[in-house]
Amino acid sequence: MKNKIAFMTLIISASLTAAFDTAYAIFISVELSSYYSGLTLLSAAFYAMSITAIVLNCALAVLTAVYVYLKKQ
Amino acid sequence: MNDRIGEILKSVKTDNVKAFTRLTEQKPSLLTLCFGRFPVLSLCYLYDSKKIIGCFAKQLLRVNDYIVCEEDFESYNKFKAYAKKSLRLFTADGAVVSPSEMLAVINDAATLKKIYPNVKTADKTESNITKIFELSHNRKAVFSDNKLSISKRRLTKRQFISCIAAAVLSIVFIAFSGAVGSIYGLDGNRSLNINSEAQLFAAIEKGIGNYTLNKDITLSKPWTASDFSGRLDGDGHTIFTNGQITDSFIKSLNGGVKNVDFVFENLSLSLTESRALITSTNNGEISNTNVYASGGIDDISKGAQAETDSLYFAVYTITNNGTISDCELSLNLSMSGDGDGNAYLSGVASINNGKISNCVIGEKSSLKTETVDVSGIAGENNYGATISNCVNNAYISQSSSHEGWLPNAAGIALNNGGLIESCFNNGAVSASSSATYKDDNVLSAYAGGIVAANYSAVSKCKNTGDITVSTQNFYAYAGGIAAAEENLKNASYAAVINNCCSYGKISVSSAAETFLFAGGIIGYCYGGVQLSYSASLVESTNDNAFLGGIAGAGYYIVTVSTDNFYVKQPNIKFGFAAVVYTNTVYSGTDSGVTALESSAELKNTEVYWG
Repeated sequence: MKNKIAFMTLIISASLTAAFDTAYAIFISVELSSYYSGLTLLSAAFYAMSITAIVLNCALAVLTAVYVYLKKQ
Repeated sequence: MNDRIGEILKSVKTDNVKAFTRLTEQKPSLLTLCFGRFPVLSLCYLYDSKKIIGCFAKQLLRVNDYIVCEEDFESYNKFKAYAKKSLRLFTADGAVVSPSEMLAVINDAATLKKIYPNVKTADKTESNITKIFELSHNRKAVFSDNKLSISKRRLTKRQFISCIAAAVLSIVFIAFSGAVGSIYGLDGNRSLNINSEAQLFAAIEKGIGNYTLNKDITLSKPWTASDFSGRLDGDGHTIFTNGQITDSFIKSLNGGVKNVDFVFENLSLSLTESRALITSTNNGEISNTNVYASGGIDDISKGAQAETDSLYFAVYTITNNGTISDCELSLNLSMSGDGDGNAYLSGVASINNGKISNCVIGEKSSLKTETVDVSGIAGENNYGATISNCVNNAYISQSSSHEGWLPNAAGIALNNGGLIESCFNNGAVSASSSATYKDDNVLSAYAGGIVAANYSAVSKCKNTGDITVSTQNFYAYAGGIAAAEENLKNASYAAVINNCCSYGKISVSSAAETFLFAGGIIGYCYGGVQLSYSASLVESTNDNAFLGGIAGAGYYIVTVSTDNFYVKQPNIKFGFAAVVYTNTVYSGTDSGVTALESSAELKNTEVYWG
């Protein structure tokens, strides 16, 4: 049961992070195309999303590493 | 299965250490029970009965001979689920799953390695443990020297793929978002490129951040100024304002602007309040900028500003509380006032409370006004403020026909209450009035190469421009450095012109018989002048003009003159052409002044520097 919970936690975290990353990639593409076409500057959300992406993906990396470490013991 | 055996099995399944203790105290032989193939300790491991294991592990490990009782079906099923392929190792009659084997079955390698050296094992146990790890867990167990080593667990295919996917996802996006962050300035230091008018507007409107112009920008829409605390680096590019800036580029600058060129072409402004082209108030830093400005400005305030303030117009800023340095101006501006209130036109700043340095107004520039006081660099240079290493090459002139207006013109600043040092004026400066004062309301016109009125320190400045004042019947004051100098009442500082020089022609004239004062250094001196020299030609078409080698007039006792020199001219008799005391004009003096025969002699004096 514990194994399943740990595995499901990893899968759900990875799925949510992947969903966020997809949204982030789309948002960044739109922002950058708007920026390089000279329409607007980069918005505050651009920076907020980038920071969130770094934090979320770091958390996922740590979670994955912990999961693998515990499974290997 | 009798009651006690049932109870002991139940206590193991529920990890009820109290019940287990009570039962085994009543009957210690219960510790030797073996439920079919499962000794008590094996069941404890199977059901993860931590409390019982904690209290009884040592006793249970010592048990070698078991009392076999009926096997529990539930336990068997649980064991079967763990054992999988290893189940076949325990199908023979009389087979017992020892605690060590049970630990191997449940894949608890850590506990197994811990207890292994302390348990006696049957012959088959070691080979069973090896097989269990291999069959059920895909791990390798090796026994050597009473030590057990077990390879680490392997992830299942599904776990492995999931972990790899999660790791790749996180690494890719950490790298991606990190790269985005470093490229676009997540740390707040990186400068964003500006490629368009919209982005420039957005940057100024945002008010913070670092920006770099990536190309020249031509404005096409009306510009709205905002406060700006960020930093704008023009990187040598130009902003063509194209007539769209009718207020200023920035309202209040608290950050920095550098390496930008501005073009304000064909201005046609009608002002009802003070205005500057780049920023209304500079509290920050403007450096390495070039400005081209041309056009006309009208003061239409009708004196609305007069009661509370004056109307100022300057190219860079109305009030400079920060730093303006390394600027070049190419100006062709004209401005007209209505004479109902004070009006000023200045090249860099109207009011300087900060520092202005290394600013140059280029040759062929001109600042022409009508009934508006005009100066090359600043209007008011206040106490504590500094203007240094600035050069005016522009033609500066003011004319007025307003009968109540005193025209003032200067190459660097109109009024100096601070410090002006190492500044040059090479442009012609003139002030003229065609008006006639009436009754006893005496009015004057002032023109100075560096300042119109000096109340503080002017040091190491040079004038090579021609200084001219002409009036109808106004008094006239003209000087190569200052038109007039005066110690302010109750001021903690004195008015002093120190180590300055003049070479341009100084002339005063009037259509009527009136007081005209002209000097190589100062028109009218009510303060100090020292270590200064003049090779200026000082002249007038009026015979009654007071023309001095150093000053047109000095005030008795108040004026302090030391170590000054001028080159003799036929029309000049004294260094100070007149001495004034209690409204009476007396004959001139050479106090503190030496007249020299030629410019060559001037070069031999200790005060000469160029």
